[in-house]
Amino acid sequence: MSGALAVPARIALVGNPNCGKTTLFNLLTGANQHVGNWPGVTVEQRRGVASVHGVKASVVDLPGVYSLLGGGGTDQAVAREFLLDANVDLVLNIVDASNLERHLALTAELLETGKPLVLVLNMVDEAKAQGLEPRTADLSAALGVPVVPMVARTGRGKQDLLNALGDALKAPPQPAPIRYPEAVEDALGTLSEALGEGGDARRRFGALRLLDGAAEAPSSAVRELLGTVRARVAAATDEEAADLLADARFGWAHALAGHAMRRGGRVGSRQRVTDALDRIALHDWLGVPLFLLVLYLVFVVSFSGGNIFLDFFDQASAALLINGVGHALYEVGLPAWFVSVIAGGLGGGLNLVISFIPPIGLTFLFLALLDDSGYMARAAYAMDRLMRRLGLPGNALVPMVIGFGCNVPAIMGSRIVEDPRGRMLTVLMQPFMSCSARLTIYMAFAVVFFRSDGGQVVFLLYVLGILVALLTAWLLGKTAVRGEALPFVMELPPYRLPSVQSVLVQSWQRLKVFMFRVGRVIAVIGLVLFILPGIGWTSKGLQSTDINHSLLAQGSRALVPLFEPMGIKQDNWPAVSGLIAGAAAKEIVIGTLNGIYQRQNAADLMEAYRDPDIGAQLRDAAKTIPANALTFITTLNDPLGLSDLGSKQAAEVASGADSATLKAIAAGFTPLSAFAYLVFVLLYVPCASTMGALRREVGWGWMVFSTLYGIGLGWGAGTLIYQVGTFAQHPQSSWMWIAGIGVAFALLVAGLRLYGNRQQGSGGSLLGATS
Amino acid sequence: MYRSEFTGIASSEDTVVSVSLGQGARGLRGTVLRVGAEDGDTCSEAAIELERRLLEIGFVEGASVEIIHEGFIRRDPIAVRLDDMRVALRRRDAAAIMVRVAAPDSGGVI
Repeated sequence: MSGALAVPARIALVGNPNCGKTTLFNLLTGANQHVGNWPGVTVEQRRGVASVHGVKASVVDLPGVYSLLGGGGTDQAVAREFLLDANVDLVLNIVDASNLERHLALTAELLETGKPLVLVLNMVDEAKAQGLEPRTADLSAALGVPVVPMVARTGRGKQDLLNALGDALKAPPQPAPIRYPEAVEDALGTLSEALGEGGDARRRFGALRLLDGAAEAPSSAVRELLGTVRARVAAATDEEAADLLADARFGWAHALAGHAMRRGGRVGSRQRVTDALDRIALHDWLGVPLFLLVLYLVFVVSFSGGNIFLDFFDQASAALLINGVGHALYEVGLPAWFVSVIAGGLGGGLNLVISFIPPIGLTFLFLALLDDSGYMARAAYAMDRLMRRLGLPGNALVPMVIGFGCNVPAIMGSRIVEDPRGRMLTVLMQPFMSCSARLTIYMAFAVVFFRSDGGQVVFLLYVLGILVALLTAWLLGKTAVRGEALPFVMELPPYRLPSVQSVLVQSWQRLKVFMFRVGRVIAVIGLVLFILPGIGWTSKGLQSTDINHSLLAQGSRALVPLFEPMGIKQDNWPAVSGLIAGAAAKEIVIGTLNGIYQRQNAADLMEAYRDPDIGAQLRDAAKTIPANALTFITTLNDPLGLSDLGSKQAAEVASGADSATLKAIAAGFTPLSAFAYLVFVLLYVPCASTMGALRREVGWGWMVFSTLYGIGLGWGAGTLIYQVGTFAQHPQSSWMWIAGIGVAFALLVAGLRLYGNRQQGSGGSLLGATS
Repeated sequence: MYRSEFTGIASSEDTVVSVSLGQGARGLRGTVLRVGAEDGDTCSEAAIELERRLLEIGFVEGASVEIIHEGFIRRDPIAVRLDDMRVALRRRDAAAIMVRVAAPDSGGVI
């Protein structure tokens, strides 16, 4: 990434949460970023490249922390290890000028790392609005490091910062660490000598953590020594060593802040605005409805608004990637099977990814907006009491609602839950939320079987999904993912107008991960699904056949017996094909049923490659934008489009199924088996994209568990519904099925308990090892 | 675990009243007296971790606090003004913070 031949300088960006750290990071690096995970943990790692006077420097955005000494949080451990271990050339410490004293407490600890440091005094505009005048020169002189006043949100002071960084990289400023009382310094010296490993700074930091009580002694010898030096300090000063350390740091920060800030005494307008808004957002009983309203709006605007562009993205990318590529390859004279695999399979897979972009991109945009404005912390406050019962913090509800639109951004958005255990549970809940793709399947079946009750049936499925999600969190929290919920102590930052650049960069980074990481999986599975219906095992080996004799048909027929307990008959094998396809993406279940029921085959596609009018297709695609915009405006009050169910024709259009398919569905199912099928569709394998997101957030093991758990639960629920519904016809076999499901569920719970016991027994944290 | 130790109001004189923040009602104002259990008490790891978090976020001795909002169900969690910032926390966690009440009329306990 670096243009220079030499290893680029490494700058670590450190600061408290809510100090504008991410905004500054985006300002410095622009779109030149890479978002990944810190090794072994699901803490987001953001790296970027900044250009400091033409020289590239690598900037790493460390997690926001209040302290580096503490033992508990993953965020702190990640930041501490990076600062002490890695090849960091410069620490860029950002502090909130309007809250200087508290932010300097972290600076005091950073001085102990022995790294060169540059201090950014951010939000000087807010400080001034509160009547605080920073004396930058005094602060710089007292610290012995450059101090740059800035407003990162607007970019004010960026040039000064680049100048300071350039100078600091050439001649690293060495700040002096704070001096503790003599007795404490003696104790630190003794302890750091006993800690044999690492450089001077690492050993002194280790000694600090030991004396502070933040870390366990590595050996019994050190533990003994710790007791001795503590006693010595207590004897000399009549105070506890840990108290002396904290007093020294906070006293230093207090004195420095008082010295560097002149207080005018006015209360800032931002504080008044925040207080006024909080009177609603944190209101006793308005808080919860307001949160639900905000989420409803995010949901409606992201998914209905995204639909305005969805058809355009879908049709335009289909025109270019499927027909365009197919035509080009056909013209070159490549064999037909190759053209159809590349254009139809790979192109079709990419087409699917691209059509997802508008709703998912909008969701990320609104999430970044809510986060940047300061509202997300209020949402966590408002919902805390309800979610606490599940051992989850209040903001765990945000991803769930996003999950109604699409499970992928919901799983990726679960990162707003700070504590690793809560985040794990939140992630594992998401696959059960009825996403908008599942809605297309519900719609097609609701039209055929439930007509006037369609709305209620669809609503029932949504509620069932929520209940299963809550049950899952509760069950796992009591068994496999046991542990204390972290204390809920959270800063409520003042409201701010979000920075346009920061919001755009943040959502773009997330979207990029979706497109490239998750998209790869979708594209590959799209390819497989394209090939399966076209080839079959015949007497002459593997050959291209019509769909009835294809591998898909053969596989589906073989699987049908598994689904008989939930009412799928042998001749309805296409329903099983739909489920296989749905494991890739729920959108294509109805499409697959369309394809099979209508005996469509590859020959038609080849026709399309021969002479496609791509220009006309693109023009048609563009025309869908105004048409969909009009639909969006007229259906704002009905985001699920349930009123469509009243008219059969509209619902057919909404579900994307052709009438022939609907007739075939009507022939293959009874209302009861249709409902059981829909419940299975709701709960079984989350789609390929969701599985990709799961693997990314919680690792292979939990992804496999989540998938199998979903299949088992879906099969159990579908079978239970069908067997209870048809109980009178065959009470004996129904009893057996019901009892069997009960036993299987009991075994599952027992297994999860056993796993949880073993995790606790071994003392190993399953939360740390996720990748 | 703190609840049992710091229940109710401890009053040494008529004017100086200290109360656990976890027991305060909306409108309670004062300064932080101390965070966590008395020295010498054996504390669980979770209690030490909580104490550390509270200190980190700014509940240090002498900081001014005021309860500005209470939740709907059982008046939990609470939102507190802490010097120039606002902090949300659960009553169970707030119980570890002892507050010197500013004035007798500045709100009571629940």
